[in-house]
Amino acid sequence: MAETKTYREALREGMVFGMEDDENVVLMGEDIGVYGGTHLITDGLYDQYGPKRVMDTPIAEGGFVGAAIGMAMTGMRPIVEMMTWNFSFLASDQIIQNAAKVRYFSGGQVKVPLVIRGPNGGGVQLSAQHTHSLENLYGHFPGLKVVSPVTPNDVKGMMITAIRDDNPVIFLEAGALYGTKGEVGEGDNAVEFGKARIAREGSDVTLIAYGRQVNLCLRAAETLEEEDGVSAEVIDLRSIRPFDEQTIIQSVEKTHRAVAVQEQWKWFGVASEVAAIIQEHAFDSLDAPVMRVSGAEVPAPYARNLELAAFPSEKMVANAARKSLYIEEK
Amino acid sequence: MPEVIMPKMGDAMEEGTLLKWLKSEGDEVSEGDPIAEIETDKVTLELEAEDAGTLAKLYAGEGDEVPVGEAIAFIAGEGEEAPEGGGSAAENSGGEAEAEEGDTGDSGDSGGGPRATVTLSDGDSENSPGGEAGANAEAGSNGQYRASPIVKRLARENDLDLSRIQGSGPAGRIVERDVKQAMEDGSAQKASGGEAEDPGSKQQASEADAKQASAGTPKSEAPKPTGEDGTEIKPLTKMQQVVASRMSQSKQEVPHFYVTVEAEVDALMALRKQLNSSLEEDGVKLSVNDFVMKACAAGLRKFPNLNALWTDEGIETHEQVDMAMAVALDAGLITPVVKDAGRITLSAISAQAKDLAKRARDGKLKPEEYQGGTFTVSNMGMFGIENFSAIINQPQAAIVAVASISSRPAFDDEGSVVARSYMKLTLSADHRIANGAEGALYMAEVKRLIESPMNLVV
Repeated sequence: MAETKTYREALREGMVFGMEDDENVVLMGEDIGVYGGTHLITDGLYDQYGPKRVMDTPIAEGGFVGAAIGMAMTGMRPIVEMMTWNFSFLASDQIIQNAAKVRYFSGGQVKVPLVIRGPNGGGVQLSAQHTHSLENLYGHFPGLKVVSPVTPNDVKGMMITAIRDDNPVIFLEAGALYGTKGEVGEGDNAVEFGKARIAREGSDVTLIAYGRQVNLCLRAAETLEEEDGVSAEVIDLRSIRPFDEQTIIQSVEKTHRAVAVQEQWKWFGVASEVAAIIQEHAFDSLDAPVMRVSGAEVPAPYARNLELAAFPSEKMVANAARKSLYIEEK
Repeated sequence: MPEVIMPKMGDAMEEGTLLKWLKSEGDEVSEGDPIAEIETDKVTLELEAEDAGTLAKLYAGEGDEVPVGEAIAFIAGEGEEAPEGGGSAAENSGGEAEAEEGDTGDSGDSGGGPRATVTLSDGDSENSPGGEAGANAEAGSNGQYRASPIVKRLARENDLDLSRIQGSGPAGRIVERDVKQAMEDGSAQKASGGEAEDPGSKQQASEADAKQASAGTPKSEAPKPTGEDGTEIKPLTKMQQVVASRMSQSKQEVPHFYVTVEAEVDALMALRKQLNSSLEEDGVKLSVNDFVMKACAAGLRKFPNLNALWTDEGIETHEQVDMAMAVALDAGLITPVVKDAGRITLSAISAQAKDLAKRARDGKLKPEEYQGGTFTVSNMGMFGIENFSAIINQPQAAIVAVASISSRPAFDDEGSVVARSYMKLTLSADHRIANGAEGALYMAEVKRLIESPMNLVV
């Protein structure tokens, strides 16, 4: 039975599912305990599980992520909250140098079953030091798994999978969507990593996105259908690493055109990887160059109008699709 | 603008291979200096400079295949500078900009550098009809076009001729909707595709046919190689491709009929011996083939239909016999031409034939020396062949196949058994041009001339 829940509730439910399942699962982060979390993700969990399993940490990302890595190496399964993913830069040495590499260094003897989670990207006027999307950064390093769920059902299911994973998982939440609702599977609805989701079927052009851009693509697809009679397929990548090449390739082999959408900056982004994979494996199916829609090459602005201008819009996505179809842009 | 362009050295020539530069960039050249070796489908030639000056820029590299009319180098006069990246590139700047944008489909051809410039450019504006830059010019004279990868795949799978499709994408790029439209109305179907049922496309089909034949690719669908142990794939040389397509085309399109005669050659052999001993001092040695060529040429005087070409306007008969002779080379087959073989003397035929055959084997024939024949003789006598029939060398009307000489017992006028020598000659003729009786009468005349060889020397 699926029930309608918010993204926030579904995420919390996923963590609770893990905590109930395994007492080694603990939560750590700034203000997640007594206060209930800046984004209220852990609201009520301190009362339920107590200070040993829901731990408030000092404002010292490098320290508590390092501690969490040590805990994970010795048998715990910590879930660490980054108040925003921008703050992970302070812990990036721990994440990149240790979490990603310890299993390799130890010849597989030591595992790091660690989840680091928090809101990624923007859309809620938090400006340049709280807003940026880091999927391409963490997706670059072997040893890390990177996921970016967009639906309430996926955020719960992927959290369950992340907790069970013996490798460090970078869990990028769509912070702007914490309040959005959707149907969420009851109980164990674990969602496998590395499998993209076809969010909308179509035949003329493939729109590829992840995180909150998926919703943008779905709206653009509606517009294309209504205004241009174009049938757009929307793929929700869900998982940046491992990466589902096959779903993309199969879709492009069907539609012959692709638009990769990301909120992050254009250069060296996930969309570039999508474009490269398409041209490597589906070159003979292409009717147009793969288009990329990305955020503006500026630090995220605070002002609402500027923030909107800096991020991909439904119109940009629709026009990129039109361009790949050789029809007039609007 | 003193550009050196890839010359057209034969009607069927579409491109030539630049084998070797004989001069380097910066060398001074005079008019008539050989500057490069060019290989066409039939011969290797030295390309001579038509202007004096500095060889300022080489646009083509060794081994490049360059379409006819493309600039391959630039000779600068005093104070003159070579245009950047090839003479005609500037005129096509629209296309260049598009290439920079990163059309992955064409990047192999348009990635910049001198080679790219050569393939992209459309030749002199004087050479390209209309001379307009942009989409139409691109898809124009030298068969260049832009197409998306899916379009190229569809063209491969459905046997489409993309040069007949007008692209609606940026810079004339042919995109999927264009090719789908063309598939629906059948306008780009090649003949061998077999799917175009539309009678209106017949004309186009034959054009495609001709285009394919001239491109030198045998068009029937050959089976895939087995790839078994002990097998080897030898790719066709250009010459083999041309021979293959010409021969297939001739056998498929021309209704051949055959007429064989047997001529007694004792008198001819005796006369040949006599002439050769008296001409020895002059270094002349007549071969049997020289007599046969003379006889075939002389015999044609009364049979204009056999000294003729099948053209698109009708049958073109020729008064003069330009006698092509088949010469087998390791690389294939070539037919150099003895001009006016009906009128010139036997020794003149002999001298020309010897020279042509030698230069044919060295690959040094000029195009005009193997083109323009009106009739062909193919001699396999030296191989001890009893009899054979040859394939007509289109668009000519006929060819004579000459077999070996063999001796056998015969009765003389008194009824005594004597040794006599005979040779079989087989005419293959185009039944669209000549009928069987004509062929038979002609071969009787050839037989008469060979058996009374004095007729050939007076």
